[in-house]
Amino acid sequence: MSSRNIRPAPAAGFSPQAQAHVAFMRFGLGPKMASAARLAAASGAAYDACLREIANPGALLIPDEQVIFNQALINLRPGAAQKPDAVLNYVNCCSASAYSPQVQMTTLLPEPAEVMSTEFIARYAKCIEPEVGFAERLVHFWSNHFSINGAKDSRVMPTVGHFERSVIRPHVLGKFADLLKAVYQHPAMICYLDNQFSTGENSTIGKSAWGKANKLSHNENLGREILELHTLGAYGGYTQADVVSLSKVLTGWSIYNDIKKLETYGQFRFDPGRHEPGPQTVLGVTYSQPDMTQGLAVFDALAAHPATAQHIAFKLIQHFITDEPPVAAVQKLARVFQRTGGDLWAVARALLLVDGAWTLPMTRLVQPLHWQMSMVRGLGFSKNSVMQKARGFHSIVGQLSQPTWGRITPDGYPDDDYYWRNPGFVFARKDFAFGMVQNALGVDKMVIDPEARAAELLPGVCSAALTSTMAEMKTKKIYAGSRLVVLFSSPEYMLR
Amino acid sequence: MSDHDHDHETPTVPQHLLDAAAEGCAESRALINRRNLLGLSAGLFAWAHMPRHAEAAGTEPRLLIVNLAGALDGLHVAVPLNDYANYTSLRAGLALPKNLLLPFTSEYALNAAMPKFRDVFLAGDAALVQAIAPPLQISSHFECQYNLESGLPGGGPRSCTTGWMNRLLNILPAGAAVKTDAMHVGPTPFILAGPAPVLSWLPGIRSNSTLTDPLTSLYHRAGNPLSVVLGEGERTYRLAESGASGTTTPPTASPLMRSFLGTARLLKDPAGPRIAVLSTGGWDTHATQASILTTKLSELDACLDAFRIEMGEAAWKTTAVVCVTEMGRRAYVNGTTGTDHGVASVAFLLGGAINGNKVFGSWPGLANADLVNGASLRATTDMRAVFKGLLQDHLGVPRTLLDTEVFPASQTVAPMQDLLKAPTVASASPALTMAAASSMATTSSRSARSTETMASPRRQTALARFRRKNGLR
Repeated sequence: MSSRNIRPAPAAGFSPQAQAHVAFMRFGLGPKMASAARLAAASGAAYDACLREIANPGALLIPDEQVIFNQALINLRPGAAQKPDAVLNYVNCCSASAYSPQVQMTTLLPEPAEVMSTEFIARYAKCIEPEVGFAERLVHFWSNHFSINGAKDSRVMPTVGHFERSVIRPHVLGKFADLLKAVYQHPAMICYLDNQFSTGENSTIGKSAWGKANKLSHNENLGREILELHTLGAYGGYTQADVVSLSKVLTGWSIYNDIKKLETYGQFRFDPGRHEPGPQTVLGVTYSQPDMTQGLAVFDALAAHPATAQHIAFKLIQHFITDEPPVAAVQKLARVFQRTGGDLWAVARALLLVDGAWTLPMTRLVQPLHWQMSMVRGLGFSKNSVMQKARGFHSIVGQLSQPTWGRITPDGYPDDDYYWRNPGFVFARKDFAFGMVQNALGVDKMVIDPEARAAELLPGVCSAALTSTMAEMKTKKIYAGSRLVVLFSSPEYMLR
Repeated sequence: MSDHDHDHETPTVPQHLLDAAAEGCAESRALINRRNLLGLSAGLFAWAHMPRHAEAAGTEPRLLIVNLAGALDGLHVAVPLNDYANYTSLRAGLALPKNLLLPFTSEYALNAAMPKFRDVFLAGDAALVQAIAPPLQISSHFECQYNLESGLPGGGPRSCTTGWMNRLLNILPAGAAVKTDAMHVGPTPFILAGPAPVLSWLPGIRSNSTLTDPLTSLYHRAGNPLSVVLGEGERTYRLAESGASGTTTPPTASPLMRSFLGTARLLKDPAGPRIAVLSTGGWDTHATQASILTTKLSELDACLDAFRIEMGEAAWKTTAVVCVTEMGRRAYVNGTTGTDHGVASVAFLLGGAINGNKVFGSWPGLANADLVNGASLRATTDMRAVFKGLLQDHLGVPRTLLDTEVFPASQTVAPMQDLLKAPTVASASPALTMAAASSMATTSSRSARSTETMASPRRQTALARFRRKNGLR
């Protein structure tokens, strides 16, 4: 099927400029100077730009080499910077039991918080690259779907960014089953949901004197969240017995814990000594594999389950398009998910065709992070400048209650509009916007004509209300920075 | 669980933001300056509606919960005079000498950094709870903080995505003092997370009217509902900044002081909220504890007193403030003249409604055999007992709802008695009684439902609603 055949018919009066606006605000990260005019030039151009982005999954990757660590620390450890796994090694070494002032001194490791900062700096630098930002939004969506709180401990904090780079980014346009399998083979998720010490009572370690003395058993935390949050979803047809069985299947999905072996320390491992032997029945199917292929087979089944398709379809539509996804739209998208064997590229493409995807007015609040990124793009910060300022940016979204990799519970940030429409936070946005604008005008010495910038970023869709408000401010000789704040706080920029 | 999950240290302010602040034009008072950043790291706070039943003239109860995040060392606050020998032997180099402590009660002496608290205490408007801790006692900030805010009986997976104060709001009749249609839940702090609408204010923001005015006008011209949201935000901001009394926060006020003063103005305002939460970090004193706590306790002491004064006599009479921390610290000093994570700590109670000049909770003792694992002060009071005592006697929440909905599976934890001078809201709270009755009636087994809440699935998620609505479950 060619993209021409599936191009959505623009509604009557739905101009190319309006299409571009929808693409940027609903599916992307806001307009930027380089792409706004091009997307608004012809009907279908914005949609095609979205398709182009998901056709190029390689552009989403952030290689280890691009994650710039504290160079002084890396230089003190010969060869480390050259090794492709240098990042993970550093990351591993920051893990909880190893992390202490002594270990940090002797191995010259950065602080866990410093590692996480380095990771979110790379993430911010990424947001200015794409034309629209649709694929990058998918990264954020899936990262939130498999939400991890870096603040849990010093084992999770330095690995959560690596999790997004090495697990989420390579798989967001691949098969859902592959994504699932990668998620649970990363130390960040294993440690976040307490699986590293989950031990079968009948395993070698569980049956040992030590195991019995310590009453080692399986931990249900990961198994439950896989079913409830990651795959089938609440009311997805599983029982407590399924939670227990899946938890036993996953006993032994752990990490290397020997601090003396820094080359593997903290990385994922399947530990046969902890794995509960024997078959387990999950959702009525019995799995008899003796090792971690048992878990991999369960993940294939969960990925193929209709409830999973429905769950993912619902969440995608709720995140991108509407608070209350119509059941027909959900089922249609779920069918694409199932028919393609969980092909997330096909699902992303079908998402662009959901009824109501290309409509106005936009009524939902842009979430704090994406609103901020739209300012980063609209102001036109250079990559270097973004990286220098990213810590400040990170602090701002934290204050607006959307800290990156900082959701307190494993359910991820909700997409319900009411959640973000809190008056205190909406009121504060303009003041944070002022800080962002000052970074551009004051620190980077950019020269921006606010009215011209508004016309360039929002070609053909600047409302009369916005234009006249800015014009009046200009007449009153109100500072250009304040006029830019009004632009970025306008309904055009705040709603999606 | 790590003993050293330092997840709430005060962030340093990036130089470029300071530069941005320094270079800002004169018309801007909205710069992201040091005060703003610190103010917000010191704590976001939020509050909810006034329960309608409590609006009877002169009896509006106010409740403020102050969360001292990071584990305040109770042994460094109120020193046990009857256990002083054990105290000094455990804390060589850190123990406070008697001549530097404030005389307090016959059993305890108080850290000299809290003279104003002592005055209020002796005047009968403040009390202390000794050896208190949340039910989960595992020396982890992360887990204990979640436990304090979720109101659950113990640890385990984070299946519960609502905080206990939000569940409290959910069972209180919606208030008339604040319009409910424009106020919605703020994501933090977790204790208030949930479906009941909550209002938030960012105390660090210095809002700029050269921005507010054109935006208000823009939203109105565009006919956009954002105007309502912005208006609510602005009204809250103005109330918090100056209040009806016209007092304003001095520009030199610390972020915490700004937070307390704003809270007082909102709580006392006739149209303001009546329940508030304020969180402030920095209590994690692994090293050089004495000097850190001198500074922090002095600041808290000043803030609590400024709060009392700002509230004014009438509103103070109906106010209860409770300051709690997620865990205590080890009884013995560590190698860096600090203390590591322990179990029990103290809680401060203040307000005209509080039955003051009392130390609640029994002293578990510092002899080695009395300590948890020979290391930490044992908890003799479950923190939920204090919360339940305040909610029952101050807000009039029926015990049945406290036991099941607000603090699930807590039937065995009795509300602490006599925390209030006199129950502010006596049994005369028909609306709540009705709320209790109707919620008992809507589910055949309240406790069964609560258990389900804890064990998940998450009944409130959008997906769950969608599946229920469409018969897809």
